[in-house]
Amino acid sequence: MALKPILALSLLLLASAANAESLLQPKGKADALLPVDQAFQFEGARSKGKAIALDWTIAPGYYLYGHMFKVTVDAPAGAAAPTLQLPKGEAKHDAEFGDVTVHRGVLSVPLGFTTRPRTLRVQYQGCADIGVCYPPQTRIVAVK
Amino acid sequence: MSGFSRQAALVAAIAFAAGAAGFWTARWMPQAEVAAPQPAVTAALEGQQAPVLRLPDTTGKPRTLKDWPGKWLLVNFWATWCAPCMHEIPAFIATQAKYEKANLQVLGVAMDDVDAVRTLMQDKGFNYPSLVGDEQVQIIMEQFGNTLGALPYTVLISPDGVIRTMELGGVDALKLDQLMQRFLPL
Repeated sequence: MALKPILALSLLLLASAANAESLLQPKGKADALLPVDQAFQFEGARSKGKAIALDWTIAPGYYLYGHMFKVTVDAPAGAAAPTLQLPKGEAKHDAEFGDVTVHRGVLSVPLGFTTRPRTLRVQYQGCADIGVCYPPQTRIVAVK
Repeated sequence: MSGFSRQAALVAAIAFAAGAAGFWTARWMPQAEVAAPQPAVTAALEGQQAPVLRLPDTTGKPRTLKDWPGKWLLVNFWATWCAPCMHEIPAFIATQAKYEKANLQVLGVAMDDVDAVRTLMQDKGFNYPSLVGDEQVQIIMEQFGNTLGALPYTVLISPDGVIRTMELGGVDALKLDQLMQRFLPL
């Protein structure tokens, strides 16, 4: 009976049809990328009691550099910049930048401060594993 | 109808149904709103006149692409904070040296601080100039087809001011050589 070849061919055709969309997508290492705010979703300042933390969700295949985080206080004016208690992160060696730390996935950065900030200016910068980098981002965030 | 014809008809029917299902899935299934990659380069700009690019060089002198008349321009958007940009600089230096006689001018466009750019250009031994800007560079990159503002980004412009090709992501010497051989062979 010739039903087996027919079944195999049918499955092949169905698989091809299911892939129709991906075949229409641009190919190549950097042809399709997330916009910066989806690659590095900054979720603002989370306040719990006296503690404040800054939260990000970093998409798979993307990372933020530990040394590129910078937080200053916009209000109250003149308040000292908070200290950042970055988690351990992932060691990465780069031929240009040497040994650096990068952060992936869900990232929460507790802040240390003497005067409680009301408004923070947060800077961060990261790249995609496929070999492109996004410009440094600055966000101004209210602390509630 | 013979057995073979019936089988052929069955295969054709399944093929049609599978194709229709694939088309319907691709066209009408709801797409995820978050984390959907998007094409990072607007390839439709290939064959179009390059937009106006007006930025200062590292001495502060205002420059435009018309300052290099009659040249093939290989415009490389880069920054000192961008590791993949740093990795490809030797390839651009080699390309400038090799294809200068074929009327090529490599031109950097840095999204960076001018002092950092000057220092790095000296350290790396740049043999081509770079323009410098900050947020303005991001706007210019978008006009040149880079919708995400990611680096590195390279655009080849022919002497008539037409964009010939664009590349997002790092390039190496071999890739640049292939590109040059295609457009301006020695």
